Amino acid sequence: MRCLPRRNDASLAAILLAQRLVPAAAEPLRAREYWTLLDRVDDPGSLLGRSATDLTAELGDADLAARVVARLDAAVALAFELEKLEQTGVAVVASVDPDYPARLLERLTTAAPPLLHVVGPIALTGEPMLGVVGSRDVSAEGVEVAADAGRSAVAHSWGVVSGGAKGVDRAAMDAALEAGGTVVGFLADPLLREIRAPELRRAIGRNRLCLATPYSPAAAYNAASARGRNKLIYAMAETTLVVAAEVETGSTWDGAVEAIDRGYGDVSVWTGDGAMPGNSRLVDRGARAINDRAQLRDTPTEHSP
Amino acid sequence: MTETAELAAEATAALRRLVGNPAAEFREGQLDAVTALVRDRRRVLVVQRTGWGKSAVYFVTSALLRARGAGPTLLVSPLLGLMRNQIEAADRGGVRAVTLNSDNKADWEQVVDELDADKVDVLLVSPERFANASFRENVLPQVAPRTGLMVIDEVHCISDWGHDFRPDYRRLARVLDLLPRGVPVLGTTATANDRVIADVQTQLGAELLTLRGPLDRESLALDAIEIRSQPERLAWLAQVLPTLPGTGIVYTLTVADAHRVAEWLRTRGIDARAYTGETDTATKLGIEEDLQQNRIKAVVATSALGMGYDKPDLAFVVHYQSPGSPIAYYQQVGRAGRGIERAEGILLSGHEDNDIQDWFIRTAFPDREQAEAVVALLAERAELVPIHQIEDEVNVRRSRLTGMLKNLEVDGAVEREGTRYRRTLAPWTYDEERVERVTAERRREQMMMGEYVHASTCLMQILRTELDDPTAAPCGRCSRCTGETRSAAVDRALVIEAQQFLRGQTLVLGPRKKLPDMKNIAKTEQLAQGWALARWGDGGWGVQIKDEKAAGHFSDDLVAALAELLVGQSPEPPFEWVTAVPSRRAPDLVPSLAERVAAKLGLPYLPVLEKARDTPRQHEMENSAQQARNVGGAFNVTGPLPETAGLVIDDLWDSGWTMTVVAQVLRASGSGPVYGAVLAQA
Repeated sequence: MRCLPRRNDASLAAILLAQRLVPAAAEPLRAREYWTLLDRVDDPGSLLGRSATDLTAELGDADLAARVVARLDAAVALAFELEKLEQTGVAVVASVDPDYPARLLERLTTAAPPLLHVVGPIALTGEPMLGVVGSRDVSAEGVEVAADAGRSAVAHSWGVVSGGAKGVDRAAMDAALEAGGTVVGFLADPLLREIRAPELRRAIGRNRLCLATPYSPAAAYNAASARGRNKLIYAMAETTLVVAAEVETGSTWDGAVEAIDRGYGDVSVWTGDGAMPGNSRLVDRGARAINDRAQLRDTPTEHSP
Repeated sequence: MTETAELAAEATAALRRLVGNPAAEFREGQLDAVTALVRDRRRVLVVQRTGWGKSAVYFVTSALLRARGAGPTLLVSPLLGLMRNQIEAADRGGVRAVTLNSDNKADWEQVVDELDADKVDVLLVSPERFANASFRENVLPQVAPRTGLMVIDEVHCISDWGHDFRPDYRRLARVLDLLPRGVPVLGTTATANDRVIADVQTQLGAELLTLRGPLDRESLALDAIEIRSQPERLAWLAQVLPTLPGTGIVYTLTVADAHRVAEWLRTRGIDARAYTGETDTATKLGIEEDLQQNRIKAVVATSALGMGYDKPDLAFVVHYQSPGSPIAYYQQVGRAGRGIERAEGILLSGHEDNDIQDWFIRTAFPDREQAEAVVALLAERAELVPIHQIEDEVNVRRSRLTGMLKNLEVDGAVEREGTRYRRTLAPWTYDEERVERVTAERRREQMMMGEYVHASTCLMQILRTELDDPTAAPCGRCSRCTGETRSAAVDRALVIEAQQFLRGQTLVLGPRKKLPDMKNIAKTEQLAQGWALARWGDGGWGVQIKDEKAAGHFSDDLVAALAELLVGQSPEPPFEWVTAVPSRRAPDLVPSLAERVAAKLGLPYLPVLEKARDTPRQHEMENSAQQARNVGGAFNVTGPLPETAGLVIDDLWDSGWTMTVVAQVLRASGSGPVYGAVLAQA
């Protein structure tokens, strides 16, 4: 039998404000709105059970107060939904929960997602990690580079953090798992669909893989969500290796440029055999070049935390 | 007027509309509950005897919350059938209450439309609904977006300590964990002791308001008598029931006993109907209605006629066998005399009670090794696995496997799609501590019931003390208080008739039509029909069969009884020869029985079957797949077979696989249709 802790009111209130799991009479708070509200209210649990009039007095904003009340009104529906997700192994972790990854808050601040939907041990996010990102359409050489990166991380007792997509991501993750390492995947594809794969389920069952997404676990993939989750990888990693990027287009390019410009995390880029045209252009933008396998294998040493 | 006084006036007006009585007033505690829920949005636990008026609390609260713009109330209750009257009454009082259950699927769309239009004040659902995927996916999101009040009826079911803990309530308990404050929650029960209340308090949170009233039932006169043998108890019922005024319920522990007792009473001219978990809904409703209108003397029921069945003038509740716990007993006997001056609650206790209770206790939890094996298997496969494949790999009887998977599903270890199961991604370990703790409590309760039967002090006081009712005192009405315990003595002639009745209970055994992998057996190779003289170890012949099998010889009594049973059957085509299922372990036992039965019937005995190899005993094989594998290929035909229909005799019918396989072998070797007869069904 599972012994699950009782959820506290602060956590449940935070989830209610931002969740897209069950319908409510008002739109969910976006990340920036959420963080603005949490700047003004220390404990989101204090918002519960209050009337709109009462909240307007505290927040000084009648529209926001009405919206908060409408969001919190979905509490029963959410409780049933959370219980259902728990049954399949999906936990919803709010920014106010102690197991929410601290690095996301530090590096992303108000761009950090209010909620993560998680399967597997979220504690894996506390380990030093090598990020690996790149296009789905990658050359055979690129796949080898990604797998090598995954194995190098394991050799240095690091975890791998990646996006779980076909191509570069899965090559790095699979290689790390095969080498006996641990992996965190931030998914842009629907979590509930991805976790049907038996090999991923076994890795999760052995506490070697944690999959998480800021998006609703049933939501379909889109380019914006791919870019949005890439910043989580950069923020989580000691350094992130871009294996293959197109030029000025695609979520890999956009995510890398955003990470460099906003300082979400350290960015390295592969410039050896099999590199795509976007790779060297990222060096121009400020990413560190890695041009041979020996240097690739030493990457974790150079970035030890 | 103060805010509190205004609320009280508003609530009283709502109550008066609801009951249609302009002078109605709240009973003690009711208004406190309404105020805590409406004004303070608190969580409230009401522990009050049935009839106190719990429904008034949630209907009035719903009306008041709705007037304040809240969404509908979600009321979870294990028995919605009984609420038909309440729903109608609420409707008359201006509170729109609707129900969604498995019996009114045709109305769901309309109910959902009404919810969409915000016309519903109270939605009633059964806890089982929440285990239903389509309800959770399609209906719940539409009904729950703005729930204003959550009501959990019979809330003691969420406690491990509760005498009728239900798996579906366990998920409900977790839902409460996931519900923040600010949503009022009302839990109600009439049967909770301190331990259960403490459990519920943990679940509902520290700021819970508990309202607890005295649990005495002033109209109820209790009696308890030990009558060990079944024939004597049947005779006692036939003798005493007609002398009891009014109509009532006779409770049995098993489905088979419910049918048997009802049939026996009918042979004695007492109008009785059987009501069990296997009775279809339409029949159940018919029986409930007949009882309600006093058109029948008694309903003979298992615990399926359960919580909340409400008939104010129910005059007696007699237990044919003893339930396993005083609280369960209090709840069942408490259905009598709710609205009349005097009612009787008589407990009969028999020799089989302990065995049956033991079985319930033993099977309450899945076996650790088996559960771990199933979870390990599913973890390794890491995909949806059909149940028959699980059965193939793990030695667990199908019925137990289904129960275990249900438990594991509630535990969050496995998830289900149709009849396929998959390991979830949630961690799981077998909770040995919980199993031991609950089992120990069940044993204590079982012992308490044994003491209750033999008690010399007030019976009602014993029950109320078990419920930790601080006001428990001698009732002055029960047989121990008045000194008028009923006699166990019965007319000997009636006992003999009951004995004969029990012995005449032929059991018809249906042929197996499918192999364990669900492939059909060709109609021409199926067993045509089977009969059993008795249930193994049961009243009638069952005990004698058990004893004689152990002694290694079946007496002429049993030969005569089986022959008589067979003479009474006239299948088409009739069987014209007899053979026996051979065994290497006891080579003569069954052939000798079959040969003597054949002689009685005047039919030839043909020993045409031989055991090809040793097989483990069938009952050591736990499930169909393994049992079928066990007997598959185990029999050979040694001689020529008549083309006419034949009869195969064995001592026991366990899984039915032996007879199924023997029939297949005989048909394949040229025999006509094959019938089967056994002494006992295990």
